[in-house]
Amino acid sequence: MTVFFQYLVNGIVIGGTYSLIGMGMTLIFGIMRIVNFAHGEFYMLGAYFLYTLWAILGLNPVLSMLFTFVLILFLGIGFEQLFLRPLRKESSTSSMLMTIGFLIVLQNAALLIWGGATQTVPTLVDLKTFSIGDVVFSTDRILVFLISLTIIIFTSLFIGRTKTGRSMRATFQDMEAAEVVGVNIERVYSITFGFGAALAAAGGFLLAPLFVISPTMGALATSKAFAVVTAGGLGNVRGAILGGLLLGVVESLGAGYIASGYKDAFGYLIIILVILFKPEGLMSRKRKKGVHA
Amino acid sequence: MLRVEDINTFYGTVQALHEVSINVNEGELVSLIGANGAGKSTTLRTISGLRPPAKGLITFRGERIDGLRAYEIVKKGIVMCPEGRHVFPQLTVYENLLMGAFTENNKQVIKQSLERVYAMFPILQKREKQAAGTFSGGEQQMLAIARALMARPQLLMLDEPSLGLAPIIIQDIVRIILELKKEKMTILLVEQNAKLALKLSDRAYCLENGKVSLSGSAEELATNPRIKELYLGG
Repeated sequence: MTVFFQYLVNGIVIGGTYSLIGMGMTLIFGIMRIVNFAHGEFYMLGAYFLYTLWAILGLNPVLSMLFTFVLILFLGIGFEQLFLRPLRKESSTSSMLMTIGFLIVLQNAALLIWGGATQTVPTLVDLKTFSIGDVVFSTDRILVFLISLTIIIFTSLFIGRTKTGRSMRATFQDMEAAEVVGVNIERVYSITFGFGAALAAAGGFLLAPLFVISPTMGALATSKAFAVVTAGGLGNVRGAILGGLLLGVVESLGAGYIASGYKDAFGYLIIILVILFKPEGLMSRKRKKGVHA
Repeated sequence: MLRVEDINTFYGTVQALHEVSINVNEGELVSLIGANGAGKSTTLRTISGLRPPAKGLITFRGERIDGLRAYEIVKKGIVMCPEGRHVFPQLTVYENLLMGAFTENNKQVIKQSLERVYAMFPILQKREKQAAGTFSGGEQQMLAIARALMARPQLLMLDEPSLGLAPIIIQDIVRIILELKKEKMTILLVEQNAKLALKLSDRAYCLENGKVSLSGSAEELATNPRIKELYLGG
């Protein structure tokens, strides 16, 4: 039983970061109706920005994360305005192909800047462990979970309580009505894409100290984001939060009890099962559209 | 107040409006009547910036507004209550109304608008925490009008407010339109129900196949033999 709880705790810690990545993807899909294939690349950039600001330049780690979040937010907004906005009148396929372009450019830019070798980012705090019962907790992982939780709560409040968040939900539910009441749809799109990318980056900088980082690390993150978003229901923010935790726990239990080599395969298993048996997502009672805070 | 001059509007390659010209004076209730597909809604959508004209001129208080984006036109004071209600289904009534005041940043003004709208539609206050999607068609129409009023429009454009509603609900909508008219709100009304529209309005334009075929005071149109035959049932 102790082993089970240990896996569960580990799964929830990693799951919190999956929630962030998934929330970012589900927001972008929900409002812009496009799948962001470069999602994992923003995740990768989050990791490398933290690496650069903290491990290389020696900035305070929390400040580095904050900077990274803001930088990726603006990078996302810039990409959206420069490259996606001109495609608005085209089919959504064009926009999705463009995000594949982002993927190629960002991955190669990272290779050029930071090189192909993997890097490590030091842990956020001095590594200490303590145990409750026989379940072991380590300080760095707890911190990762607390920061994830903070960003999740912050995002939920942003979407649920602020005027910008309300205009995002409104645009999602009825774009034309949003235009009619005076929402600048283009602005909503830019903010959504930037914010979604920043959430992916948050997942990246939180996981960076736990794993090694490389310019190609994004591919796996994108596939995990698909799993989270499929499980939670496309466009469902609350679903993405729970979907992320679910994926973290399933991976951890699967790796522990079945085979650790297949850890990354369990996400696909979730996608297949959800699509077969509950294609609208585990969180939705029935098929409906809408960004839920 | 509003002048629309010779506008052409297209949906893809299909021309929906041919040199349409209308004008609305301050404090007037003007309606556009005509059959389904005559271009009434397209005219409103063109004015509101959702479907910009390919040709022609639109001015509001002497200022050119064609080519402005929809949200900029709302800021100028032209607010549309769209056909088919288009309330935000998963937002609460309260949130829907706040969305209506999206272009207003003064909290005090928003609060006053809210009080005014609640006085006009008491049912909305009673159900302010309910999701708009759970409302009946009539209630959604009230909410859609209330939401448009939250923007404090100088020109209110109502697109088919009676469409698909039970006669008893239409009476409520009519009462509200008359109330707004009494307050000297400038209204541009699109209505398929020509009889109702002519009863309410000061002036009217009749559209046929994307062109203005007739215009004049409501009485003139109501007694015009052609209008009588085509739209008022003989």
